[in-house]
Amino acid sequence: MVIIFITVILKAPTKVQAQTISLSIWPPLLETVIQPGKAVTQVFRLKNLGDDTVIHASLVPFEPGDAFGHIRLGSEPSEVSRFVTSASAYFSLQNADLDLPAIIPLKSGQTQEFVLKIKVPETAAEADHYFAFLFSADTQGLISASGTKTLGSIAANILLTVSQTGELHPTAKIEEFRPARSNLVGNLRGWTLSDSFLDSFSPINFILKLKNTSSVRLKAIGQIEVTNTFNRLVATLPLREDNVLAHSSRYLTSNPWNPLFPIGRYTAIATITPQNTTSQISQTIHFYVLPYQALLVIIIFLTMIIKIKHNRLK
Amino acid sequence: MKKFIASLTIASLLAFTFPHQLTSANLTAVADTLSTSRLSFYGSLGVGHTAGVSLIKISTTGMPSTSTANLFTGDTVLIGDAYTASTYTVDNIYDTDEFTITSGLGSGDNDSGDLVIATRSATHTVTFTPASSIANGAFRILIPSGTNGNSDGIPNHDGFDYSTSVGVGATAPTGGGVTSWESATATASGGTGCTAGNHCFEARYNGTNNASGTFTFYINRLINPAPATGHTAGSADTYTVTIQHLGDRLSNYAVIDSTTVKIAVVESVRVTATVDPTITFTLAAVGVGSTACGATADVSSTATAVPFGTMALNTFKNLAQKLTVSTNAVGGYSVTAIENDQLGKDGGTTTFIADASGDGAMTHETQDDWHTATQNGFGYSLQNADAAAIVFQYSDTSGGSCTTGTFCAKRFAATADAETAQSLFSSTTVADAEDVYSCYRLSVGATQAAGDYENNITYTATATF
Repeated sequence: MVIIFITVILKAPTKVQAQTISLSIWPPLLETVIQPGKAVTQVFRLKNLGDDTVIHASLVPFEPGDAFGHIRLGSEPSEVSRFVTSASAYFSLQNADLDLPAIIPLKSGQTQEFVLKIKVPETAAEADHYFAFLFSADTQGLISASGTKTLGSIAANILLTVSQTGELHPTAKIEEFRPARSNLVGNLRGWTLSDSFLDSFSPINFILKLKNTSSVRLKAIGQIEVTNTFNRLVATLPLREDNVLAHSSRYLTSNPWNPLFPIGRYTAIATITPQNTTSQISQTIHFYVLPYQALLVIIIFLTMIIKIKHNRLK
Repeated sequence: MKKFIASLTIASLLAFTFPHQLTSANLTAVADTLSTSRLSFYGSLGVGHTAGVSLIKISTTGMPSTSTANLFTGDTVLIGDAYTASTYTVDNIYDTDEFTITSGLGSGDNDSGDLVIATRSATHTVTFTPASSIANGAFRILIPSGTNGNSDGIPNHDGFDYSTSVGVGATAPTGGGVTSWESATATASGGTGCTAGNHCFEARYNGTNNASGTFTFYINRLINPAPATGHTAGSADTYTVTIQHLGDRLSNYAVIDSTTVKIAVVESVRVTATVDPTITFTLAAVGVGSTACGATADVSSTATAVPFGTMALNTFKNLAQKLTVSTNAVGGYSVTAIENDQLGKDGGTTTFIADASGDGAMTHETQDDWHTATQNGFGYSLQNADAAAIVFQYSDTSGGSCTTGTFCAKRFAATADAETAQSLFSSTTVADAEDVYSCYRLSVGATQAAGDYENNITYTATATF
């Protein structure tokens, strides 16, 4: 009887607590231009794909974290300061039962809509404001003895431009435009080979960095056009229409150029027209494409033949 | 005798007056299957287009096609007048009378009334079973043609177009008991031996056909009609195809058997769906004994806790969690991490386990190897399963002060020290369940005061802007 009792105790399953934190947010990005005194409303839909949890919702300002479109939260929310942001005057929730900051239990599989109203005061100056609508899952877990409690957060970005007229006049300049280094160049350690010499057998990518020199965000619209030695257009590579925030830089993305055995001198022209403007900025570069890898193989082959013949003559 | 002659005469007259009916029959199991039953598009430009625009507005009156109902993204359209028309690609359907093209409208193609044409060519697969066995005969298919300009490559509103430039052709049936088949012929409406009103396709054979079995006749690349006069979107326009079994050459290929069948052409249904961009972030446990960052997990983690438990002095204890991000936002995502403070005794701040310095140079921004357990503290490393980009990994042999590739690590940035959350991994494009292991390592020294030490780490996933 005692043995059976002990066996039952050992086999009794322990309750598994909070095995997964998983949140999904829609939309991940909201871009809006708004007049002072006006308001807009946007629904954000948060789904809990993990275990039952408690959601803390708040607005946190952010700034560009790098030149790739990633954000750096201005003030990482702590337990105390999470809900104290400078945005409180602009943002409110239209949900009847929720106010910002919001704390709401969310069961596994449940979706919660947050109806966010953005109202800009009459006196607000024309400016850009960037916020993250941050949702943190405070899932209850068990820590026995020493350990770390981990929290999962997800954020939707809000790009808010306050403008009296809606007519934005962003300005920009191209900070960097060059072909990306080919693999071959990267592999030739210790050798200095200019970026302007590319290999015929590698896809050709371009590095294009745009600096927003104005105080309003812009969306970069444009393309890279490539012409060959005979000035014939051989490729048009559209740029992805990414946002470049005020006074920041961003690398723009285009598809790689995959020509069939290019050789010779090429010219690439990057042309960008910030959205809703007519001002066009462009930059031109020249580069050479040669079959380095093939030449290298041929040189090695010839060297070996010469060496073999030389040895035979001896 | 007179009576007999009179009777014979009457019988003969009656025989001539009421001749015996010919035994013509219908072919059976007849069908004409089109490879596409989409109507062709034949419209014209509305007013107000300038060279270079990509938003095209079509005229809503006076042409067979007066709405964008039968245009689709990716369609090739010919826009312009007869001399300068150029081909364009449909980028998107904007509304019922507007669509966008992928490039700007050419300077010669922007006049009001210029044609907008998208042809749909179809293969007709005509199948039938003959009703008769006929020696050295032929089969003929008649497909309705337009009244005017029915072989110019431009769709007609009242029949099929026989485009001479795209190589209309026919393929004769095979088998069927005949000795041999001659090459099938294709003749445009009004051509030699083909009466206007139908395009003619004929296959002659030698020998006698079986009056059973299925014969299949292929007709290639006829251009489907544009909407008929009075067409209602969604309602099919029907046309009658005739299949004939002909006698031999001596009978001048007279029609012996004949059957008609209806075919229908209609707008395709445009199915549209919008996939909303989302981002999903998941934190999951890693079990004891699992290997992550080149170290075996000493204790199971959960999604919410990294329970180191009771620590042995000057001994590493390793745990891990799995972080997963999915997003269909085109700009990608980024994941950052920050701790509230160092591991504090009973959650406090005064007595704490310091964040590690690795082998001497580790900070929250600079990674360093961490091999020596007597270098006490708390830190982390990363293992990239399939994320697009990661800031550093446990196996790095360069970057920061890492050289060995065994456990290259950092300490967490801390809110209490006014440090900024550090990026862990990211992508600049869509991501499908990209996984990274976050590996925690703790070592405590002999002078560490006894007690439970805790802190919080917050992982944040955000889409790019």
